[in-house]
Amino acid sequence: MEHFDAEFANLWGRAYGVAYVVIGDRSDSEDIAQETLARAYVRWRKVSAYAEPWVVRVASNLAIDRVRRLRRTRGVRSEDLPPLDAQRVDLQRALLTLSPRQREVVVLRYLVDLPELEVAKSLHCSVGTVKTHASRGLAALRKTMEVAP
Amino acid sequence: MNDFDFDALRDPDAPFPGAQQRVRVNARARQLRVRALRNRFAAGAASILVLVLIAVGVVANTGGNAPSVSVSGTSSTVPATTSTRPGSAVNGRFVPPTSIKNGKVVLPVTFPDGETTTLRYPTAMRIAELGFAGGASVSYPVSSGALHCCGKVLSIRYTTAAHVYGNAQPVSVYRGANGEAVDYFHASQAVDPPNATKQDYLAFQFGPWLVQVYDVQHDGDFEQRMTDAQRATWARSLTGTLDANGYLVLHARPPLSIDHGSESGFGAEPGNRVELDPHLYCDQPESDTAARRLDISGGTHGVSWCEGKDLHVSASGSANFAGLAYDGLQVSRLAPPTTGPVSTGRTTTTTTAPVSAPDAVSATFVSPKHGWLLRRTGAVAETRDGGVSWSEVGSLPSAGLAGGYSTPQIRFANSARGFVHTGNDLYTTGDGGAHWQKAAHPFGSIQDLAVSHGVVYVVAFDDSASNNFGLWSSPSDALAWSKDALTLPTGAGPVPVQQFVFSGSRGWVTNGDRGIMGGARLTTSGRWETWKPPCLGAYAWLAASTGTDLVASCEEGVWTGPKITDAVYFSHDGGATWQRATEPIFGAVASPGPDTAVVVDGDTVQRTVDGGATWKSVAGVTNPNANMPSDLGFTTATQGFVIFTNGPMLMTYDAGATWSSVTLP
Repeated sequence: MEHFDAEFANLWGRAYGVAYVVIGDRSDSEDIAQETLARAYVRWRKVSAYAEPWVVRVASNLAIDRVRRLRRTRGVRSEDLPPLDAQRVDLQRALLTLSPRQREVVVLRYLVDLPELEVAKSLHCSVGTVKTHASRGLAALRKTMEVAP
Repeated sequence: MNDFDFDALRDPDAPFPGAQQRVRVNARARQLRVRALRNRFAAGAASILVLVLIAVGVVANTGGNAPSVSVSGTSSTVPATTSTRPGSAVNGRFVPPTSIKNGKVVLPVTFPDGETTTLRYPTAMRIAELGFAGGASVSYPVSSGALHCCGKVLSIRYTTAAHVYGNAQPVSVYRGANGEAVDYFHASQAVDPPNATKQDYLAFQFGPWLVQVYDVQHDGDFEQRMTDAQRATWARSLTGTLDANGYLVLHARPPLSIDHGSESGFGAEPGNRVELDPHLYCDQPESDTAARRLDISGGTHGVSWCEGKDLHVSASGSANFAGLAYDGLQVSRLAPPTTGPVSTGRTTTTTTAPVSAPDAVSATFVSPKHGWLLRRTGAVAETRDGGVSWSEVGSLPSAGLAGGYSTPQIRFANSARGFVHTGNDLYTTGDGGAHWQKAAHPFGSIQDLAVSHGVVYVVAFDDSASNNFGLWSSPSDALAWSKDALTLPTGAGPVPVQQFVFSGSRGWVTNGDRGIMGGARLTTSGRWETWKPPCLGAYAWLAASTGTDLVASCEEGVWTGPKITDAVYFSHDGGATWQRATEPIFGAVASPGPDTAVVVDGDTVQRTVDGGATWKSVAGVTNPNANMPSDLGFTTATQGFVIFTNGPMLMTYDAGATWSSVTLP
């Protein structure tokens, strides 16, 4: 079992990175990295065997949850939302439409930049499956963006 | 490649996670484990203790019989007396018995998870009189959105619900494990102290101890208000016993489990305190070491250190108190729970001897007498008397069992031919386990392996072009693998679990990834066909006693919500139709015959002989790492075994009615 502290910097960076791509706010991303790593730490014995995908998934889910909550609590008054570039808004909207498996692959492959082989290993599937989900996920993203105003 | 320039969305100046981030994570982890319940109720205790003038009440408590837990309201709270005595309370904290040896006070301590230590200190420190309050963290896996969590830290006080809530009528009442009432109170109903919290509480009275499970009043970012069903689960799954010294020991049944990280100790701020924190603040780069560290801040003097790798000790208060602790406080290393009567909820059983075979991983029998056992070191032990005595017979060529995704297993086809898989590697023996050779194989990581009627079956990841798990089989005497046409699709990840079950020439396999997604069964032609198992979407264990009689134990809703429901299903037609038993039970399952099954969780074996209508707790073990069993099963209609992960191995010779602990060489 890897020692938590040996993995800390890498995992924190992963969590922060994926959170930032989704929400684009440094303070929120630090919060999410902290929350993610704390959750990993308290169940490290179980998580350590697949820590990186676990951390990325939890961080991306927390980030997506936060996006959902922001939208819900702030309603449609988009001027109240933090200033985000259009592409990030599109990405947020699009990620919400993906299937969990597609989102997992898209997040691991593109948002976190894991090589296809690593994504395949961490998701316990073949490189071919990763390619398939990645391309379908991207296609879904494109579609969402095209119909978006 | 794609239209998205994800790089443009990244933070070009992402902060590097340094010590500051590490400390914050520690703090949040600490918060997750331990909500600061102790201080909430403790104000003002110190001023009372200063008045304690009478010499230490020294009592050697010989009480051999652990008191049984009853629902009583008879505990007295004596916050303002000028002396303390063992068994009395100081502001909701327990004054335990002590003795004196070689001029020092000897104070045994039992933490709420059953672990123990002993303090030895100069009489002037009067630690016992500061009063003990325990902390316990209990995990209850609840699916909340995409996240699966959470534990709660319980408030454990030496007081009564009547004291805290006066004559208030509980908002609702749930049924406890022994039929007692477990009351649910709103925060506003507390009278002592009033308005101390904004949290509601589920209140258990275990003898003189009040155990409270907090509930948030509103759904928050990381925690949601408990549902009625979740409160009911808490109520029926948590029990408590008193040890010989009067300390409370908590026991949890699934889905609850007790975590071994807690903050406990004597005294309260701002007075003298001794904090004892098992498994929390040691063995990390920035943590204390065995060297005693003195610290003065804000007029409070403190000394702290780590006793071994898992017990953090901190004594703080006056300069005199810290000085005495620095020179004269001895704390023994953390000891695992000792055995004793344990109330398991439905009935009371005596626990078996502790950790007799803590490194057993898997076992297999080819006859009632002849069996083998795989240890974590890679050593293989053999029994020729049905598990009564074991002797080392051989060992895998590589030291230890390299970690794969699945639990390593040992399976024998006959008295000479056997197999071990470690998740990644496959080993074979042809001489009864004396010598083992690594065997090349055409599949990826192995999820499960079984031997039935001279055929070895493997379910494993298919490393070839397909994206699925496959089913391979080979004659057991000379390996020549053939892959079945049927494939098992991968799920949403990341923890795929496949399980084989064989009875005679019949076989079943479940395919799960987080939850059960599907399955297959072996036809009489030797091919696999798609089969729909019960427990779809749930965690599940499967067992078969005949070609037609099956049992499945499921934890439904654990990944999907909205609530978790445990269920046991019985089938008498080879898995075509299933009857759901009424009692909500979940665990690893084994079945010696139709309508008879044992369900094993982290520390309890429960048994039914009537198709799940009634269950009886037939064995309990003290298992510090109360994980699910790593292997279990029946060899005959009467003989079976259970191996608890990192815990003891038990055997039964009467179809699960009674169990005995196995001792290894």
